[in-house]
Amino acid sequence: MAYGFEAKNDSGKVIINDTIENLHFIGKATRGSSDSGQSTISGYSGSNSTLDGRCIWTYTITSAGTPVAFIKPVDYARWHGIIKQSVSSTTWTFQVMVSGTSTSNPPEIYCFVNADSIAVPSGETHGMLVFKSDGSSKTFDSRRQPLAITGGASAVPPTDPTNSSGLPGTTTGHAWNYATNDHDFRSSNRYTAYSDSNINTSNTMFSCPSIAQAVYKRQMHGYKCSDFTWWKSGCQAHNSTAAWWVMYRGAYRLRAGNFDAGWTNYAGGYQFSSSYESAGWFGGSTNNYSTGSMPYTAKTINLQSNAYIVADSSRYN
Amino acid sequence: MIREKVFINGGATYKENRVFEGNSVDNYVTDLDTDPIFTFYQNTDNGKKEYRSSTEFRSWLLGYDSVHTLDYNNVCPDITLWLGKSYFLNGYTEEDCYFRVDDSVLLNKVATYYGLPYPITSEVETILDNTPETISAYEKDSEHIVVGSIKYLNGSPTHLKFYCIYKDEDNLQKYEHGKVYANQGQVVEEGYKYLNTSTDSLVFKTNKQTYRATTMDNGGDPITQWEGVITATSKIEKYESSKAIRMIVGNLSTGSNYEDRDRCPSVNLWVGRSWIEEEEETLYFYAENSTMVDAVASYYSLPQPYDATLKQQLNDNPESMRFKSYDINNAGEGNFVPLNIAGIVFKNNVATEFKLYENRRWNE
Repeated sequence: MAYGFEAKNDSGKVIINDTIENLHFIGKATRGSSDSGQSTISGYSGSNSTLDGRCIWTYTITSAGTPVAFIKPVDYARWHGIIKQSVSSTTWTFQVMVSGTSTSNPPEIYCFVNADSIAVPSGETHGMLVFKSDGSSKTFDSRRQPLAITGGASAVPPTDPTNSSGLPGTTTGHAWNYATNDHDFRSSNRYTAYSDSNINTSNTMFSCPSIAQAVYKRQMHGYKCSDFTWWKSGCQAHNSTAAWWVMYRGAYRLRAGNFDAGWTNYAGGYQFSSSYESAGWFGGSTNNYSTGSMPYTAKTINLQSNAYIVADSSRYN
Repeated sequence: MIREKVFINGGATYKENRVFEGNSVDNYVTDLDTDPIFTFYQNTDNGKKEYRSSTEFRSWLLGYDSVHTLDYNNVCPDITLWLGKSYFLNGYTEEDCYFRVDDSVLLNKVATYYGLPYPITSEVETILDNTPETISAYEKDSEHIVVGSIKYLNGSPTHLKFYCIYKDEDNLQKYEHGKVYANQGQVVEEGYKYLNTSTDSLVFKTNKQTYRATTMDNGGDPITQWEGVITATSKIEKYESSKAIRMIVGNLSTGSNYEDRDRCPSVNLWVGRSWIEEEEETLYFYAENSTMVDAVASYYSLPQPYDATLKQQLNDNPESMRFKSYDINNAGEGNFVPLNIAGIVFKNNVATEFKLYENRRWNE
């Protein structure tokens, strides 16, 4: 640094100077509507139909700069993740997914931006400002509650989001019309815990992108051959296909002394098809069968370590 | 009912394939990947018998060229189209070479060339020369192919075989017979499930409509994967399964049980509906016995659909006329229940007709 101000922490890392853009509290985002559901596999009634469920809240905030959002859970037992962030003019919108279907205790979203994107409050005439080399734009302004990071590391959820051991797959040889799901698609036990002594369940908030996605499917093919003297085949084939699928997004949970990286189901569905060689009020259909279309090929994508940072929300209340 | 008969030695039966008369299919197994025409193989005491169509036959029937070639033993120059071969890959030295039997003249030449007995009687010969479509195995553009074959053992011809594939009408063989009864036993619709022997595909048609398959990919139903095309008007009759039958069959929680319709309380299971746009709607239910059917008729002030004979059949032998057997009681394989179907036709929300459906074998 050729000139100006520079502050370092105990580790010798720069925390304020003329080039590093510090984040400053701009306010809490305004909570809007919610969409709650997905506590069961849609369209299916039978064993292993239960999912964790999720509630998606929409928040908005006006900001000239790009805000960094922190989730401050109200119910720390639930999993949280920002699954979408968008902007229209200066209005920023966040979709925050929370595990479970209850619309009680929605989280609060604390937003931080660079110093130049916040208007100087009237009457605030004292404080410390650090300018860039141009002498006009700021990197730090003590009058606007700079972000104080209390901890952080990197985290990644486990590959398999489902509670049942082993990935769900496709099996054949089931009885015709067999449609009983044997896979537990819930995610409550599927997470990676990261020890972090800076985390408590009173005031801690976190920022971490929800990037990992997964879609998994359990599929069963049923078959029955009715004895029937048939031209060259001797069999009236009966086919059925049952398929359960669930889509997940990466989500996080704060526990005292721990940052947990896991999953929450975003959507799920069930497809079933039963047919045999006949049609109309003769029964069945042709020997064709299908299960509709899966939204994605079953897999986990974007699974990588993501930086998370935690801070004390009480500083900004 | 004889569907296929193979003659040798002046009319002797080499084999015949009967329907509903015991297992006489000789262990044929469908394999759609094995050949574009001969989509099957046969498990025999001597091993797996493979079937391959010839390049020329594929071109004739399917209209495409393939690089596949077959070798034939001692080719008779009079044969105009070789159809293919059957053989064993395990070394067993039996094979059949299939050819088109143009007429009795050709068949005689083949018999002479290979020194084998002429396979058919004069009666069958008359059919071959005059109405070959009644015994042919394949058809394209109204041209019919009657099949013959030369059977070889250890490289020597042993049999000249002649195949008759019998049809009920056109290229269709009847398999299931459906009737719809109303007004105390009157047949108001009747049809069959057919096998088209040329295309090896199924045909479902009645005197009022033809059915065609739908799929879920096209927004179809998970169970009632068909629709009817009304012959007289070309209108479409669409079908859907009820929520209750979907739950029974596939643990599906989707669909409707038509609570907003005028439903007779005596019915325990509504199984679906069909509708013709701006014309009529039919609600179908599980006709468990005559007590239920009579109660439904009384509720809608409509005549019972059956006569005394059919009524007794519904009570005493429901399996003989059922639409399909399903595991209605969730009791597992072997405990399926014969699901007999009745339907109430509504026009402008008024019940106008009470129907009972019967599915039986082709000749019943």
